[in-house]
Amino acid sequence: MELEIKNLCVSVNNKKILNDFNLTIKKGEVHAIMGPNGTGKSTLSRVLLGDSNYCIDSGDIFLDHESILNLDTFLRARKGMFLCYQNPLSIDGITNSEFIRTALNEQLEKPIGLYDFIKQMEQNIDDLSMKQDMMHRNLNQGFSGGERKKNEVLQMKMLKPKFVIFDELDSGLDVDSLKIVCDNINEYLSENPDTSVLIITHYKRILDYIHPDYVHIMKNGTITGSGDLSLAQKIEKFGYDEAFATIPGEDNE
Amino acid sequence: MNKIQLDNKNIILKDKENYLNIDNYIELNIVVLKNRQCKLVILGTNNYQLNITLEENSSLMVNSLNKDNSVNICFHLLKNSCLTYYHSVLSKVDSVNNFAIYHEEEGSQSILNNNGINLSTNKLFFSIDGVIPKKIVNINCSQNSKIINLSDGNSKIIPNLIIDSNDIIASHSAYIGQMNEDEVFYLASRGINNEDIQKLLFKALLLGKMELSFEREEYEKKINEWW
Repeated sequence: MELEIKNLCVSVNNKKILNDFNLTIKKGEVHAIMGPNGTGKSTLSRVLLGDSNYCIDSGDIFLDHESILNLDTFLRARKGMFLCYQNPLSIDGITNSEFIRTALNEQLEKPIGLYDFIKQMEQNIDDLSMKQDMMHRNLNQGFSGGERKKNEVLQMKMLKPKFVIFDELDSGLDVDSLKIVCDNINEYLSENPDTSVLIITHYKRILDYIHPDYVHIMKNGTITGSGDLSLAQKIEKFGYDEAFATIPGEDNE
Repeated sequence: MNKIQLDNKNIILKDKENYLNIDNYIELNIVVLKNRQCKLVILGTNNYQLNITLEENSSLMVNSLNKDNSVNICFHLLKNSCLTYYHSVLSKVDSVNNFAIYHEEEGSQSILNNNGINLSTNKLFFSIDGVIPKKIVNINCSQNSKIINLSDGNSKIIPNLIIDSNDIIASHSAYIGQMNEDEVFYLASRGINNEDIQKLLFKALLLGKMELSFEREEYEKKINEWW
């Protein structure tokens, strides 16, 4: 699935957050955005999913060449967009399986049978080294930070999206869990090669597992420079400003 | 499970699990005997009035699911008794829910959770009085109430803690408002449409805190029917 963001300007309470933002992610490509805190990275992920708290001042977002600006959040998700949240919510009274089954049935013409659903869930829960009782527990209720992140990836594997945004996937995951989660994502991407990915991160370590085709630096609501994985290495070593100064052809004043 | 027969106004709870289906107006006196631990499940579709006494060292957990009704419930808590009450209401006509909890002897505890969904322009009131008289000590009295307004309904929560004693713990919380925007966005971002989001979140509000066992299936069925 191809995503194109064109000259996007976004504000909240009259404060500009995204400023003439441009990015194209082609089918099957993996892009990573890195940037200092408060630069609008998480805002971008919520805007892509249509969070109505943000005001689109100008610009457009295209999914497979069709504008999605007028689509409600649930319709964007049904088109194949998926946001893996930085801080997934917990909701008391809705079980994990009930939530995922409802979401899955919304995109199917014929509801999935209970047996098939449980079989798929059990397999994916095993793959992610989660406890089987997670299926019957309330959505993220009492889950640790790492369990919540695994639960997000479980949802991804069940719902099979075509465009996935990982917003700080590595926060809250220990080293072993990060590897398990990334192995699952890589397996998903090799089984679904048309799926495009946007990784939002502060640290390079996740990019050691999921190799990006492009790395972008984001600052003050816009992309200020792009490169390959070596850019992430420079950011980690020298910080954003110095790494940006090394990008050839950029206006680094 | 003991199905309570409504031909008798005085009920003594002896069994662990008791079921009460209220579809005609009733007034009932319920007693939980000394040292007993009981659970009472109520399905209420008509108005009712309950007078519930918890004898010494007894405990009672009540799950109560209601639709379009009004209730008056009075609790008398004797020494070291423990009450946990979950009262949920789905309402599109006027619904007034009055609770009075009298901590009559020391060491008694009460936790009252009221959750309501106001579907239309009707009234939905929760009025809760927690009463702790002089010299009654070592008491825990907690009230939590939440109402979601779907339309321009007139919803009100009146939490009263009437405390005339020291050495007690008392608390209350009250919320009236719309659905939580973050929860709605999270569910929508998985492709769930608005109607199904409401269904999921309202079921979560009405049943989420309850410790459900045999009544789960019937409660879920009723919410789907009533919706």
